[in-house]
Amino acid sequence: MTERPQPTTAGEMQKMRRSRNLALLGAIVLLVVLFYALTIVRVGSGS
Amino acid sequence: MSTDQNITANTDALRVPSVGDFWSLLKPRVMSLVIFTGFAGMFLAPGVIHPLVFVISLFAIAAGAGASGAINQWYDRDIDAVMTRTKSRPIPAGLMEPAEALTMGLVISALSVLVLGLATNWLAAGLLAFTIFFYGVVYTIWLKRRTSQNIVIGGAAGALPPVIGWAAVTGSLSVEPLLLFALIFMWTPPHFWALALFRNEDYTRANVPMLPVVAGEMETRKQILIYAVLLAPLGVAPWFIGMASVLYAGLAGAAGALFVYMSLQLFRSGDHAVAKRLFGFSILYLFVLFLALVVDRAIQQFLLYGMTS
Repeated sequence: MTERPQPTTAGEMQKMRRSRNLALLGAIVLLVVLFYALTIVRVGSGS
Repeated sequence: MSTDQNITANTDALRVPSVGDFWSLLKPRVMSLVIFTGFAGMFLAPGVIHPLVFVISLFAIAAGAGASGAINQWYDRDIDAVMTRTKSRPIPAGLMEPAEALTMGLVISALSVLVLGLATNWLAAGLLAFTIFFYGVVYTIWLKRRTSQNIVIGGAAGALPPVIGWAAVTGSLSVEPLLLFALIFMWTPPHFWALALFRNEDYTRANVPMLPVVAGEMETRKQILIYAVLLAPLGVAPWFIGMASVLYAGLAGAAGALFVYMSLQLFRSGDHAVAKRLFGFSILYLFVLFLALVVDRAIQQFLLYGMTS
């Protein structure tokens, strides 16, 4: 089993939380782009 | 000042799941196999879909598979904690709350089914929903801890991605995707039982009734051989129904014969090193067969295009 590096200071913890939030933002943006692109393709193909 | 102060004393506060931990909940290695077999199902299916819809569909199938992996890790957290192979997973490692994993699994499940349904058709989306349910509930919750046939029946979940891919393109089902399903379904038991042979201690400790734990190693080796013998002709069957060329048949026949030979070796020797080798080969076997099906079809289409243009 490999030990995961864990934050030792509140600053590091905030940094980790920030990266998690950014990843979540990325996922939401991806979903928005995905639905937009899907709509364009569906409208374009007339279905 | 307060943000940089040392928080080592507060051990609870130290347990922060990283992005990588959430990613690992989705079982990326399993997802890569699902992407591959799902791609094969979509590529082999007759019909044309927009390239973007193709990519989005594949993404949705992979996300659905990943979501079922998160649900699996939520439910299996107690046995994961006592198995060497799984004890460093985020929940047993104490890096995240079980509810976080379940929420993530359920949200991604719903989104993946919705996206696939909107992108392609509701047959494919329904099949994806069924696959998630089958893996997350039927296999993980009902079968895994109850019967030594857990992975035989549960294997259906892993065998469905090419069927979903096929349905995504055609909107229907036929004998070809069912054959791809049968191929993975028959491949699953020898693959997992080979793993269970050399991970026997893990499963015994976790009280998971894998075949070697319940019926012993000899019976497991016998069952592996039986499934290998049944799998080998099934590997050639795509040629038989006109889905692939004779070149594919030759390759699949040789790979199947090697699978049977290695299973026979394991049956005779009982050596765990042989089980490990068979486990590794089984991954290669499935990869090569699906890749060969895709390449074979690509060559056929290229030749057809060359003749008609």
